[in-house]
Amino acid sequence: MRDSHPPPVPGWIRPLLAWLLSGREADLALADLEELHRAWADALGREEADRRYLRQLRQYPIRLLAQRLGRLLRPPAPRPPDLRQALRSLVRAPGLSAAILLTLGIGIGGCTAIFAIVDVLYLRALPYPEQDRVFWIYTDAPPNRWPFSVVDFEALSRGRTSFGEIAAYTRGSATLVDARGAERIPTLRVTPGFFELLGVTPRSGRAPSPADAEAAAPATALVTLDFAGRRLGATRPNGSDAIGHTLRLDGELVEVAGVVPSDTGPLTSGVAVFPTLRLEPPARKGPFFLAVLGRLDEATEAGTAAAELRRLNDDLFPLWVDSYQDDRATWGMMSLPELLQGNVDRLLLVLMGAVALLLLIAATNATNLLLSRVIGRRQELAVRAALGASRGRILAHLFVESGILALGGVLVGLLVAQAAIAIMPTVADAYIPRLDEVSLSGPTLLLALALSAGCALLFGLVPLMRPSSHSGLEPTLRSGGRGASHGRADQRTQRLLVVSQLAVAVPLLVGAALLLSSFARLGRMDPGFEPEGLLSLRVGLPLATYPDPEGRKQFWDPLVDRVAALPGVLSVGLANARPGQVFQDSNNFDLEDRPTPPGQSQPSVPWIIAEHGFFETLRIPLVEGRWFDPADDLGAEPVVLVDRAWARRFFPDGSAVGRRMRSGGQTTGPWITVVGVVGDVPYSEAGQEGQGAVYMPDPRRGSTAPFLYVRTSGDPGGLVARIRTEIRRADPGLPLTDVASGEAVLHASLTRPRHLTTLLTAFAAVALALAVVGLYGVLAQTVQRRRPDIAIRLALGGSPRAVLSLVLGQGMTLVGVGIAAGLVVALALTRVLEGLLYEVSPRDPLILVGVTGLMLAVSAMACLLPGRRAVRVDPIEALRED
Amino acid sequence: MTRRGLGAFEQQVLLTILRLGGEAYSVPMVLEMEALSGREISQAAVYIALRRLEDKGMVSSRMDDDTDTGRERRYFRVNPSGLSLLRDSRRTMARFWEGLDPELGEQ
Repeated sequence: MRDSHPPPVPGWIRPLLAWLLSGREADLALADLEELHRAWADALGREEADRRYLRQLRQYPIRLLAQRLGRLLRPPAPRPPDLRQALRSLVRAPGLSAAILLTLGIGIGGCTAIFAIVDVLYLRALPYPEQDRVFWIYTDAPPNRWPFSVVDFEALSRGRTSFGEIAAYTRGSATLVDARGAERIPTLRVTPGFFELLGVTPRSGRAPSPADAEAAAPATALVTLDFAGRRLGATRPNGSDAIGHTLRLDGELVEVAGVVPSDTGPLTSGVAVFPTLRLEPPARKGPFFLAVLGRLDEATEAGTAAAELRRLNDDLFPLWVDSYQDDRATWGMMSLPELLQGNVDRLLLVLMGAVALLLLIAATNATNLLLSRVIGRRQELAVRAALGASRGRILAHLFVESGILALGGVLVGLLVAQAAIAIMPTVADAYIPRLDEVSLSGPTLLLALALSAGCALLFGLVPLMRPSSHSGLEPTLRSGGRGASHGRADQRTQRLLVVSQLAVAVPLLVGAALLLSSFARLGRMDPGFEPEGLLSLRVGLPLATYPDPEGRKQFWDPLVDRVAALPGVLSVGLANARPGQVFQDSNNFDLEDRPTPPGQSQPSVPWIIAEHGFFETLRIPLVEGRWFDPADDLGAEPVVLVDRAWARRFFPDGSAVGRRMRSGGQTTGPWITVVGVVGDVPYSEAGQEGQGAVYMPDPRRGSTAPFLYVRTSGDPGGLVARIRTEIRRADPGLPLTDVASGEAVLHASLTRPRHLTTLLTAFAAVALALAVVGLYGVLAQTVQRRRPDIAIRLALGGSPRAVLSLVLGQGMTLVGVGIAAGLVVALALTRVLEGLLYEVSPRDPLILVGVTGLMLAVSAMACLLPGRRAVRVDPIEALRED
Repeated sequence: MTRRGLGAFEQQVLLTILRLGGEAYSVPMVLEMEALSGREISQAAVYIALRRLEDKGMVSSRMDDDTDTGRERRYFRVNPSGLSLLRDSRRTMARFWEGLDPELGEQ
């Protein structure tokens, strides 16, 4: 035993052991083995002792590794008692659990709802067979696209193309009169082949035939099964007893020829009546009103078909050059999915980004809250360990807790998503297409589950990823729950989490502030008319009853006089447009003084029909020139008014009055003269740059469904009933629609920006609240942990002010780092908002400074509370506790 | 290995501590187990078993200095729960062995 030195330890053993055990335990193990070697040498001889010693040395790390591996492969399985325990400890902290569930729910629910829209618009196939081979064919004059004319449609139908099926439709509305009264309903007039092209088969009856489409053919229509049952009293499951019924549509008797399913896809959504389109033989190239669809033959490349379209247009152009000279315009095509997606990418991107950021904050916050719970419960856990709970069991317990929270988060999230989907159509129908199809589908549910699984992993694992040693929990018990080394690592993690929360909250706040500022500007924007005391409503005149302009004028003249004579009415006027509403009827034109150069597209602006009373009633000012006068209505020389934006756009340096132009691509015919310039009224969505507008006179003759505007001295609402009576007296079969006060008209034009702003502001507020709560929590904990330390400082004469600034300094350092990181992220992200902002730059320095200031102020409050508590620490009490 | 059950090796480790006077460190335990079993015992296996038993709360350990050499050793002692488990285990095994002497050919 005296001289038996063991053989040298191989060089790789010690570091490996030190890594697997702690350094001290490794030394212990080696010393134990050395001692064993001496015992073996005495009993078995030197040789055998050396052999055993070396063998066991090598075995040591291998056995430890195998044991670790075994533990990894056999993760601590949560067992029922864990579940019960976990639930119990969650219920014991109801506020915290509720906060986590709610934030996760909002995050997961928001993401799920937005994804449900993306799913419908971009991922789910349309209900049309081989949707990618169906194309919308249009007149292409970049940047404008407009529909086909009858000439175009007939040329395309007769021409040689790779489109096996071609059909056209035109969207509109018609007045339906039956026993229930008069109602304005949306219609889709279709050519034969329309339903075949979309793969829709009538449930009963027949689809329109070419004979139905003759100009002189009796009027026919298809209706939906739902409409057949609701309005025509059909009771058979296929609606066949509705066939042969007649509808009074726009004063004309229309025979129901067939019944189609109630839901025929997004293109026809909301339409119940499909009259057959009867096309008059054209006398000139225009007007352009037909939406054309073509189904591409199999094995034809889209590029080939596009070239065929351009060639066909080139052949057609010279034949109609008398009435149409825009040689720049050609024919283009766009796939049906692309057409139906609409222009919502940016909007969805913003919403998606916002909810994703919110979810990130929610998950980070939940992680932080759970982490502080683990720290706060260290003593409890230590007691459990002392009572015999294995480390694995404690980890399993914590993990089950976070699992329950994540699962609860999904449930709350699905409720939130369901609620969001339910209210979406009423809130956002105007600017996101196909919302009625949005639902919690399979892929959407999968996403929700994946999101929550991700959250569970994040906040379940982070609190567990702490340096561990075998006896890690034991010293905690002794030192009253203030494990020194553990504490530091946890604090680091918590600080990191707080900084990331602040960093993520900044872009949301900046986005919300940008939208708010933009919205405020929109609200302050001069609408161009006086909304107070204004009433507007719409009256549609059926073409069959009022086929010619003179008949319409004879209807309007006495009616307008009688309305103007009602008590409280100051003025009355007609126009076919409503301010703040997108006006679809644009016209292209060529200026005499500034002709469009060959090879360029002619400018195109809203072309509105309005009479003098319209400007007077809306109080739109005359800037220059003169108003319309009655002689203009049927005058030999056509005249128009233009608005200021138009004058600025085309004649920035001189007067627009007296300028002449020709419209609709004509090169012959009379010149149209500008006789006056009026104030700007937007006919696009609020906040979009005005392109200028042209007003031509005589809506009483020229428009079939004009808006009637009335200016009153009192409350305009009280007049509606009396105006309705007057209209009934003139013609009892006329529906009165779109009744709105001036304020409502103004309000409606701001709907979209208001919704987006409200949403993002709400997100930002939640984000800020979460981030600040996280900050407060961490600081409060730090103060609690450092009570004795602070007590000593105070006892030794440290000033409360110094203690306060210590705590504040610590907190505000985190805040500073978080905000700085967040601003960098915000600058990168807010560029996507560019198209949604009005007169605000995405990098508006004032807003960046303002958001920084707001975050600093709110964060300072969050720091101040724990700081003041620190100052109030009673040294004697705090030290006695220890 | 079930939650409350003990492996044969773990039982041997616990029994060895008791044989060595209720508290022991790994070296005499390895030697005692080798003497009793008649084969080589891996020090690492004993160490791992001890730490596992400690995790389960069957044994507890403390560090102490050896009075002769002054080096540190980790001494293990069996906890009450370990003792009760050993008693359970012995009773259970005894029931299995009981009355089997004729079958085992032992008189």
